[in-house]
Amino acid sequence: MESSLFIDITLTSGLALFVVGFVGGMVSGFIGSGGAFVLTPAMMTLGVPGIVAVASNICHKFPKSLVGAMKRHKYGQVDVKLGLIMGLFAEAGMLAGKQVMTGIKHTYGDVGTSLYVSVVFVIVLAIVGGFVLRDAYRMFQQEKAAGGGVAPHQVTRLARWVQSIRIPGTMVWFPSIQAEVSLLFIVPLGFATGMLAATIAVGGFIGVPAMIYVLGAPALMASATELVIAFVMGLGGTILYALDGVVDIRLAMIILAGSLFGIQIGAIGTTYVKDSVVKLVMGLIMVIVLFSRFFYVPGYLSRLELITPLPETTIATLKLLGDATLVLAMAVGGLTIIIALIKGMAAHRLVQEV
Amino acid sequence: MPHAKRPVTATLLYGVASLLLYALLFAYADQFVTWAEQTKEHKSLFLIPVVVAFVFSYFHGAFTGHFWESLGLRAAKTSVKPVNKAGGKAATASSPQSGQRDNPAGNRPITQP
Repeated sequence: MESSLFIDITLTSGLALFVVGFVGGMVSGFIGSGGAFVLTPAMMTLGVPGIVAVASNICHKFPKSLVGAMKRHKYGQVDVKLGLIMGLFAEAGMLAGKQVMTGIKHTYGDVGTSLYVSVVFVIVLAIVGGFVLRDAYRMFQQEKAAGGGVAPHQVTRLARWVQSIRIPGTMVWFPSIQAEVSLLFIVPLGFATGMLAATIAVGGFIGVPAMIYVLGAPALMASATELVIAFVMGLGGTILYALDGVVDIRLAMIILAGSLFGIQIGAIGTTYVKDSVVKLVMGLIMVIVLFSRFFYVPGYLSRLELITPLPETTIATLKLLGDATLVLAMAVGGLTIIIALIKGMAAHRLVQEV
Repeated sequence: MPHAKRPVTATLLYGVASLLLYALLFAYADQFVTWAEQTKEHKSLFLIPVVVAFVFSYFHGAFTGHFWESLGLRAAKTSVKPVNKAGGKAATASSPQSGQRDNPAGNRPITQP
């Protein structure tokens, strides 16, 4: 290729993207999002320019989410109405998030943007990830106390309050919540999901917990509905980037090749597990990803001269550790899903035999 | 599900279609790159990656679904009953989860206050 934007794809790089796509797809099929935070850096490591990596990632995301959403819709887990409404406002949030990123880039450069991304990562993942993990632990305890039964889906106090607010002309019935909720609550949640997607590429880290804890949807339905949001956001994002001519369709389709294999496993896996397992996988990934940031931040602070400058070799080593932690997050997520699927299938087979 | 029918023919058909699509994509890879570069002058070319993604998602999505199914990896349920359609719009204490399934893990009531 003569173009500087579009790299040559070798067999090794193609295979690497296929594998990362597969694991990312599996996680997405299970918790509704994820994978993007590894795919973009993976492509950049292969020499793909940042803008093309982001664009190609988004271009693989919308068809993947479409396939995943259709699959999970067959299992009755998708709230299409909630997904489309949140997706619409997420689209707006994504545009706003992109503006914020551009503004920071103009003022502080690429390092400033990276630092901003890291700070958002740490704050969001620490609060939301910690909460999700704690909730998963609490549910496991309840299930254990009930002798291996299923902990009932409990609507949080916040969600009960949200459902109790009646604002005439804005109330919409959502099947996943089994209640009417004012659109005025949905708008900011969708917007925040989009803003996070534009910032850290994984809007689902806000969208799914918001649907569970703020609106009162079960985790399985929230994670499935997130796929609709991701589809809407991904389609809009792809059109925007395609208009700039920065989508590398070859890269996007290689990742899609792997991720569609993965998303099927993730989606099937949800039919064998309880809400608590979805929360566990999501919480685990969020918390491990959070730790990856601790390795990146010193380098950014050093480059912005906010701390005593570190040697380049130290920054490179820390970045490598950060990248490895991201891969670890995906590996742990993927492995947990496979284990849950195998256990769930075995238990299901046992019940059928009985 | 050992007795379930495995969709071998569908897997092969969609697999071949998917393979053909990928072969075409990489045979004309340079052309796709050129179209991407020309998008700034000819805006309508933005549709190419969008259409390609939809087409691939249909054929490759169907292939991967059938592929795992033909290997025996299936969902725990096959039918979904709509929930609370006629039951009004108020949350009820005993409303089952939308898409309640017949597998043990899925049978959990939503406890709405």
